[in-house]
Amino acid sequence: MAATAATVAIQQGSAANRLMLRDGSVATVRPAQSTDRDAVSRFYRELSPESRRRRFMVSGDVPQAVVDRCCESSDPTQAMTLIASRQLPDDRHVIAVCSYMAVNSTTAEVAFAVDDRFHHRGIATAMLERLADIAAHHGFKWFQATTLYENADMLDVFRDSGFEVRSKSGRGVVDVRLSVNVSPSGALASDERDRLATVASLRPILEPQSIAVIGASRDRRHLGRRVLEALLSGGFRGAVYPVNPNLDEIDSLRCYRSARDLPAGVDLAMIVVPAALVPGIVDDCGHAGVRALVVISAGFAETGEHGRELQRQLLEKARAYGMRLVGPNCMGVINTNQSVRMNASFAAMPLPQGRIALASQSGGLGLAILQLAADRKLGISTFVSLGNKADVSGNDLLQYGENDPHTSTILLYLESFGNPRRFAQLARRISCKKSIVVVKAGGTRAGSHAAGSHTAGLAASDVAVDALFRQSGVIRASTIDEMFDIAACLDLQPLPPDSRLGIITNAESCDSGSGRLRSSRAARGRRVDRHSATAFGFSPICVESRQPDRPHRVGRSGRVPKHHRGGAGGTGVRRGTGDLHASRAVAVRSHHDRNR
Amino acid sequence: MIYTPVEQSQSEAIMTAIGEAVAAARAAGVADKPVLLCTMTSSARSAPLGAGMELIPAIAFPENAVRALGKIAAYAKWRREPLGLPWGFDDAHADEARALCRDIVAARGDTWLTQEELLRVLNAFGLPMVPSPAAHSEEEAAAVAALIGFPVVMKLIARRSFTRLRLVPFSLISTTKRRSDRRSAS
Repeated sequence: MAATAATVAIQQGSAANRLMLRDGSVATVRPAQSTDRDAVSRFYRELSPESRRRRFMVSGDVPQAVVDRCCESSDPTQAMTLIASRQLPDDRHVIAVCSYMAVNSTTAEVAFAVDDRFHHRGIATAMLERLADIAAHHGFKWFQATTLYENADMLDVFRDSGFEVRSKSGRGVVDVRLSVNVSPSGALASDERDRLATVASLRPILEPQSIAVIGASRDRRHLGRRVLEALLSGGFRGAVYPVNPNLDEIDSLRCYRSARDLPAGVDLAMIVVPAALVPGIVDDCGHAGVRALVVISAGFAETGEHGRELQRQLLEKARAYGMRLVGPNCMGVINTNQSVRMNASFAAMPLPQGRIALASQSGGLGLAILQLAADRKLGISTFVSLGNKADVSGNDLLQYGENDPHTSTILLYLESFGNPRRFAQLARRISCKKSIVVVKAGGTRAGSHAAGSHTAGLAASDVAVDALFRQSGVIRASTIDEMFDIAACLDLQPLPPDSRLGIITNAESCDSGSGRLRSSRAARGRRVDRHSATAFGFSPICVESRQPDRPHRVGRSGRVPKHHRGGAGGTGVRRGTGDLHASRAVAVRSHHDRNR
Repeated sequence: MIYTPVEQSQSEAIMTAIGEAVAAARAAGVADKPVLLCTMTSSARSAPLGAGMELIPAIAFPENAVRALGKIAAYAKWRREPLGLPWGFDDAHADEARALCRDIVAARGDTWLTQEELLRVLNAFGLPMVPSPAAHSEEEAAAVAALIGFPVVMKLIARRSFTRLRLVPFSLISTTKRRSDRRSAS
C-alpha cells in the first residue's frame, strides 16, 4: 500500500535538457537567463533580415527592451523563453529562441526564431513542444501567435506540432490559436518524431561509414590497439583513422597526430585515452566535425566526485557539438550486419551474425556476456556496452532495435533505470512487435549499492520493477543464463500458442501413474512437472513408456491409450496437447534406438 | 524434449533422429509449437540442434527450459491481448503528488510515507478514502468503532515501521465490540 518515495520520484535523466534534431544531432535546451542577453541580442542581430521579419514583423534592429524581456524566465506564469544551444565555430552558441508571454491567465502569445543554418531540422517543433508543456504546467490553456501569411514554415510547425490549431486570416497575417494540451494524435506524432530522431542520432554510432580510433597504439597491451585490431580483423566496411600524437603510421595505416587533422565528417570517434585528456579530445573531435563518440576510457563517475565532474564536462562538451555519446567506461559497440561489419570493441572473439540485439551496462561483464552468447552460438545483430550511460541509454537502444530490420529480440542487462517512465512507454510499444528480455541487476540491497556505485542511477524497488515489466510486456530474466535460454527460444522457435506443455523423454522422470518419482535424476523432473510447471501456468503432460517392449502411441488427440498409462490414476496425462506428430515420432524412434 | 543418453555411442544417432522427427512434424504442418531440447550431456550442451530448416535450442536442465518457456508463454499471452487505451482523468493531480513526494525525498531521503502523507498522495489522485480515524487506546478504539458502526477494519500505525493494511481477525473485533457493549450496558 505505501510506496517508497524513491520509486515515485522519477529521476530527471540527462535526457531532460537534450533536444533531438531530425538529422540525428543533438542540442541543449534550457530557460534563458539575464546573463544570456548579449548572446540573444547577437542571435537576433545575425538572423537573416527575412528570418527577423518573420519573427518580429519588421526586418530592422530588435530593440534591447524586447531582448531583455526574452531573457526573463523567472516567473513562468508571466513569460518563459527557451534557448537551444550548440557550439558554433565563430564562438556563438544560441541556435534558437522560443518564448511565450502571458496575454491573460489562460492564453499566452508564442513566438520563435531559429538560426538560418539550422532550419528544417525540427528544432522549432521540438521547442514548441517543450514550451507548451511548461505553459500547461503553469495553468495556460492556449497559445496564440500572429504570423505572416507567406510564412509557410511557421504554419507548418504549428500544424506538425500535433497541437489543436485554429486559425483565422486577414490583412496578410494569420492568427493561430493552439491548445497547449497535447491531443492523442499529437502525442503519437511527438513519439514518432522522437523515434526518428533517436534512430538517426544512433546511426553514426551503429552504422558508421568511418571511424577514428583516438589512442590507437602499437603496443599490443594497450586497449586502443585492441580496438583498432578488432576493427581491422573484423573486416569493417568503412574507413579507419588511427590517431596518436607520436606516430605517423600503424600497420601501414596513416596515423593522424591529432583529431583536429581528421578528414571532415568522420562518423564515429572511439576514445581510448586517459580520462583527464578526454575533454580536450572532444573539443578536437568537435572541430573536425565528428558526429558521435564512444568513450572507452574509465575514470569518470564510477570513481567519485572528481570523476563525476569530469563526466559532466564530457557530456556538456559532446552536447555543445551536437554529438551523441556512448559510455564513458564502456567496452565498445558491435554491429554484425554484413553491410557494416563493425567490431569497435576490445572483445576479440568473432560473433555469429543474427537477430539478437544486446546491450549491457558494465564494461567487464559485457565481455563475459558476449563470450557466453558466442558459446551458445546465438546470432547477434548489435551489441552496445553502455558503461556509465552519460548520454546513450537502454531506452535509446530499444528504439534503435525497434527500427533495425536485422533485430527481432532485444536483450538488456541493466543495473539502473535513468527514466523508468519512458522505458515503460517504449517497451509497451515495442513488445508488441519484438520481444524484450531484461536482466535487471540490483535486486538485493547489496546489489543496488553496487549498481549505484557504477552508474549513480536510481536502483528502483524490485517490486516496482516487476510490475513495470509485467505491464509493458517485458520478459524479466533472473540470471544471464536464463536471459540466454529465453533468447534462444525466442530467436529459434515460434511463440507458444497457449500455455500447455508436453514433455517427451527417455528418462524415468515422470511416474505417470501416481505422480511419484523414482530415480534421483527424476527429482529434477518432478520440480518441472509438479512445481515449476504449474507455478508458471503450465498444465504439464507426461508422455512416457514404462513398458520397454511397447512404445506408447500418442494419437491426434494427444491422449495416451489407457493401457499405456502406467499405474492407476493416469494423472500423468492431464490434458491433450492436440496434434503431437513430433512426440509420437520421437517417442517411437528413441525407444526403438534404445532397444536395438 | 528431455533426452538422457544412456549409451554415449548411440547418442549422436538419437540426436539426428530427434532432428529428423521435428523436421517431419513441421513438414506435416505443426508450425506454431516451440520445441526445446534438454540433453543431459556434458559436451556441447548449449549449442542448438539442427532440425531441417530450423534450430532447436538446447537448454541445460528441464527446470531451466520450463522456466524460460513459462516466461515466454506469459509474454505470448500478453501479446495476444489488446493493448487498451490510456485513460486520462481530470481530477488526478499528479503534479501535487509528485511535488509532495519530491519534498519528502529531499527532506528524508529514500523512505516510507507516513499515514498522513499517504492520504495526501491518494487524495491528489482523487481516490476516495473511507474515513479512518486514529485511536490511541483500547477505549478510544472501541468508541471510534461504535461511532463508525460495525464491522470495522483495524490497522496498525507505528512510527518506526511502514503502514500496511492488516485485517484483524473478526473475533478480536467482536471482542472489542462485546467489551464496549458490556461497558455501555453497565
